[in-house]
Amino acid sequence: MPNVGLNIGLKALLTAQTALDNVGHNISNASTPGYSRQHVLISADPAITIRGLAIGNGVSAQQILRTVDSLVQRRLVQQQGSISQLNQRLTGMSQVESLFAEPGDNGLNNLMQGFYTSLSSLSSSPDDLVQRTGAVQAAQSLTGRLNELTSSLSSARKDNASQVAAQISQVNTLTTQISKLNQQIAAFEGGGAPANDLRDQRDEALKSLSQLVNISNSEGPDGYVTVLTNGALLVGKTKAYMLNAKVAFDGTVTIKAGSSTKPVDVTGGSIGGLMHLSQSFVPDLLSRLNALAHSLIGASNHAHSTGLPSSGPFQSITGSMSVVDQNSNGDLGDELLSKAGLPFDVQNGALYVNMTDRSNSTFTSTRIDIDPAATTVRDLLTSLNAIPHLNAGLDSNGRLQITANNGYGFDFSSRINPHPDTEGTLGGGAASLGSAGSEPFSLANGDTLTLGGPAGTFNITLDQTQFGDITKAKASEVAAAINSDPATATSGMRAVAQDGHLFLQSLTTGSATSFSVNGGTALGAFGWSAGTTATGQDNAVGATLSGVYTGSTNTSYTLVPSMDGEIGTTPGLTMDVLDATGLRVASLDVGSGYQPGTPLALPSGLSISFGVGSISATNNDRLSIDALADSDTAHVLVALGVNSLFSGTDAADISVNQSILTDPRNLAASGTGATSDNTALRALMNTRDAPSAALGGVSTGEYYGNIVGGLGFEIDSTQNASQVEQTLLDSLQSTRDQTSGVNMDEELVNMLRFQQTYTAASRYITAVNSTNDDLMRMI
Amino acid sequence: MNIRPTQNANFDLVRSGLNLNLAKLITAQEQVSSGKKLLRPSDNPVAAATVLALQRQLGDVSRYSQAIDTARPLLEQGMSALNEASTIMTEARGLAVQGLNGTLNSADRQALAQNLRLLKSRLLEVANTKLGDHYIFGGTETKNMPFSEQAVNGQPRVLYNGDGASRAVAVGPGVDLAVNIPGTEAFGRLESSGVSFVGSSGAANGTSADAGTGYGYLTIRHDATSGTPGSGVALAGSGASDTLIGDRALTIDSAAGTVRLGSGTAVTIPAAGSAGIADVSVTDENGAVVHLDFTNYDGTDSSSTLSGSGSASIDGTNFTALDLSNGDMKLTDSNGTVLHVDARGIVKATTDLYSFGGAVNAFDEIQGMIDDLSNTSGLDSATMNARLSSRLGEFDRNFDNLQIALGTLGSRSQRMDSGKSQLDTLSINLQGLVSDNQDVDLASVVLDMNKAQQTLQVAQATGAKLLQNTLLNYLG
Repeated sequence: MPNVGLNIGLKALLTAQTALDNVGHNISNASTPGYSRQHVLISADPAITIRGLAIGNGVSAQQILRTVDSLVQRRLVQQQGSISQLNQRLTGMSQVESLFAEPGDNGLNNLMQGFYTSLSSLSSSPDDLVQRTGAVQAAQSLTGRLNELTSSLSSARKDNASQVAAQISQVNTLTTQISKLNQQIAAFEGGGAPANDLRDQRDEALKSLSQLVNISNSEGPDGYVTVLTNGALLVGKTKAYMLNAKVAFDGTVTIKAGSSTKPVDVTGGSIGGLMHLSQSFVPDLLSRLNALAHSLIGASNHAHSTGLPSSGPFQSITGSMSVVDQNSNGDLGDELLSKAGLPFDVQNGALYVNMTDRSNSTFTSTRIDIDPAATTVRDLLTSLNAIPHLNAGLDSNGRLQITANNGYGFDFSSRINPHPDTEGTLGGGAASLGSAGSEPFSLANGDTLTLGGPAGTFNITLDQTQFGDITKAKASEVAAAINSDPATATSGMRAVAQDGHLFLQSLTTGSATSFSVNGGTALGAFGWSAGTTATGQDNAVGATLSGVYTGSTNTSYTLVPSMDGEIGTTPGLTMDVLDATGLRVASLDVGSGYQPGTPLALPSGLSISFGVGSISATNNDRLSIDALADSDTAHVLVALGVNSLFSGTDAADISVNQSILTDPRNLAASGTGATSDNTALRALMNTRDAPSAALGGVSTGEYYGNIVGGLGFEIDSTQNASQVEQTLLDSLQSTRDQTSGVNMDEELVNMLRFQQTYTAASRYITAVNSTNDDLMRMI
Repeated sequence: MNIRPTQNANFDLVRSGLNLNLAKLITAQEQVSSGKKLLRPSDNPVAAATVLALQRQLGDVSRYSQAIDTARPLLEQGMSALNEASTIMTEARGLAVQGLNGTLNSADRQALAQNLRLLKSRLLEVANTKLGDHYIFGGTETKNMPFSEQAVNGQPRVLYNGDGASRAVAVGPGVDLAVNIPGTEAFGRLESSGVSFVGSSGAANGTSADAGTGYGYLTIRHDATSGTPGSGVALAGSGASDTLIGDRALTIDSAAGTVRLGSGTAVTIPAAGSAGIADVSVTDENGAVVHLDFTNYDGTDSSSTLSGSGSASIDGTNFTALDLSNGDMKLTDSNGTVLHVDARGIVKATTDLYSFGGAVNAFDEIQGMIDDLSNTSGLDSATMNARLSSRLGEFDRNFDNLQIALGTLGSRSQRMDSGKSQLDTLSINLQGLVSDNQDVDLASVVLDMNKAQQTLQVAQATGAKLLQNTLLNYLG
């Protein structure tokens, strides 16, 4: 009889032992992370035929398998990636949120309000030095906080970027490990048995890797796992490919795999979170803060630059923005204003420059038209230098420098000129004859004017070289041509161009001065007839303008007498008021019954009064008055940093202008040059609520509110998403646990079972052995 | 669904439960200790955005509040100054009315004039009130003294150096209030109504418009008398001290022994050889005087015409010859004053007062009264009284304007007060809204905290019990 019995007994013992070992292994590893419980595959051995009977051959352990649901495992890995990314983002965003410190006393919102409040306190007594210092300090707190916030955000960005580098090296460690495990598993399983614990380790490594980057993995037929991230191979069949991260100076991070030149876009895992923070979240915040600061600087400087400090008109000023030599030819002057590298845009419009004679406080206003696409820097300098007593140039740094001669001052305000009739074209003391129509005048080469001046008769011949196009002659060109002939001055006369009209005037005033127009071929173009005379008067009418222009756009009013007469004496004498289109908008009664010197109302808050004297409609007296709401519609002062409140261009370098920091008296609060005028200050205060086109039509305060609100919303929704994902992760984890987790009670029951089996098997062996002994005794 | 529990699952569950409860407890704790339920925007983004918007509105409120607070002292100072000015002007008027009393003598009038001088200088001080470094009545030119006394045509006048601009302050949305009153509005508002003359020269307004401000004196000066009186009578001193302007008939009646100029009083011809015969003054119906020398009077009747020529001046220095047919004679001075005079009615040389109605400021009006009362040119009391009473009308105009200015400041101050109280109410409301959004209701959050604490304790207790149950407890 073959010793089947003992063999069976032995196999039973061995199998029970294996099972017990397995139980022990499971119990020991019950808390090992990523451990899947193993179970022994026990099956009965095939029967042996003995004496025509199929006798069972006992039991043997076939395989030790691990119980794992690979689908759940894969989903778990993905979920881990999502949640890591969200948590990393949350950490970063919360840090950024705390930098803003809103809503709170030190937040930017409060500091902005504080700045405008301090301006409001100043507006009652704009010249009060204590209040001015307060306002300047409030401005500095605001700019300081902007600088601080920007630099903190930039540091946060850099920190996040450098963390990427640290985590990339962790990724590399893990991929190396996975690749090694790949080899080990392949080698082990070549022997036929599944490499359960190695596979568990590999699964854990994949889970850790997915916490760092988003991966997709698949198992090949040889048991190796290929890992890719967004199409880039991390772990291949035979080896792992290293990732490297490069941080550029501006904070941009580029990740590349192995020797490939194509950058890898990491969107998941904590590295994905860090990339989102450092490449889009924080840079977006920074650019919005910069837009806020840029708009604040532009609007504030626009209001401030047309104001005056309490010391009145400027003697000298240097701008803070440099013209850049864009075409690199060494000449700064030939740059177009739109291409001069200026941080703020110059717009199509005009700049008004006022020159004040300090000895008698009279001033004249000159208009400079600016088209950024056609006006060069040199053109601007030429126009400025053409103003009498004003000198303009670029300093060695390309900044605009303007200086007035001694005894004169300049400013850019929109104030009205109290004595607008600077050339005496409306009832002036000199004899004056104006052209009937305005430019262009249709003249021909060689046209003549024969005039009988106070000191002699003379002839003027107009040459086409004196004109751009003599058939469309401009008043200023005709005036220049007449004045350039020395005979004009010698005969006691001059020509003046005003408001597109040409005026012939005597050089002296008084009722004894007169001149006549005797003839000439040019007479018709100006609407004059031969024999017309003009006589001066002892009392100039001296129109006086008062009040404050309340309109919102720049315009002009022209005064034209309706007939000839004496102010205050001639019955029915009226002065027509024409608007900028030539439409009559008012008729002022200046005839008998009008007391000379009494102000008469003009539209939009202005008033004008006339003194005793005579005005002439026959001699085409007229006066044009500019009513300005904005004396720098070209925004050229902002672009060149002239008389600015804030210097800098964005949130990182915004600060209060150094000259104002040094001396708060340089804060331009006055709009008229008077010590306690606060017009410019009020314009500055109004920028707070003005909608800004650059900010999408909202005010700076609202824009900032949107930034903070958006930040809060994003964090809140990320928190919510994170909670949702966490719940999902927890449920996946518990599903995995149900399949692959170790139930202690279950194992203990198994332990009892196999212990009994072992006991029973050993009893059996004893029994079989004793039968052998019995057999032996028989022999 | 087959759920296969494992110990690990239990441990994880208990652990996450405990963490969750602890987190709730910590949040409640945070809220209690800070008093805020909105510590960062992400706690409640909608509330955070609302709070920021509310803070901006509070910023508005504080802006306007501050503006009112800094403006109020200016208004109050202005009002108290104008009040004092009002008192001074009332006193001055009283003195002027006293001066009209016919029973006063010259010494009394001088005393009144002296008092008026003191009042004028006090008024000037008030008009030049300073608050800190700035003159409050200068308009926006507040660095330099607005009113200063200067000599114009040799007469003391007060000129204004400030401007007429207002300094407006925003005290509410779209509400701008001026915090100052320019000096001209309070002490010398311009409401030109034409020139008036007070005096006996016969000068009247010309037809052309006049230009100027203030008052002055039109001096008609006698230059020469022409004509022969006849009957051997000559012009005494060649007519040097005559005041006759124009033609007048001179009638010598030998029978009555009188000489008569025009239709004036007949004067008895002194007897030959008597003292004063060389200088007999004959006055016509207008008060114009001619001095005649009767030394060589031959005793006959005579009818002749005497003509007085003269010139006129408004500054006492530059004289223009009178053309008695000119109804629109133009007189000017170096300050830009242009006066048109109808010379046709001028009958004698004297000094008239001319005044640009509605254009004399309060100080100059008082100065005029001082001029009249001190009577340095020695004119008769009728003329002086006529002048003094003509001043009163203009004075009252200035006084009324002062009251109006005072009233304006008063109503602005009231508006600011009501604005301030509205702002205070608004501020409280806004802060209430901010608090609603931001602050925690202490009672409810303490309850929450207790709840969280309890839940934590229960979770801990049950967790401990749960985790201890395994088969191991029962195996030997």
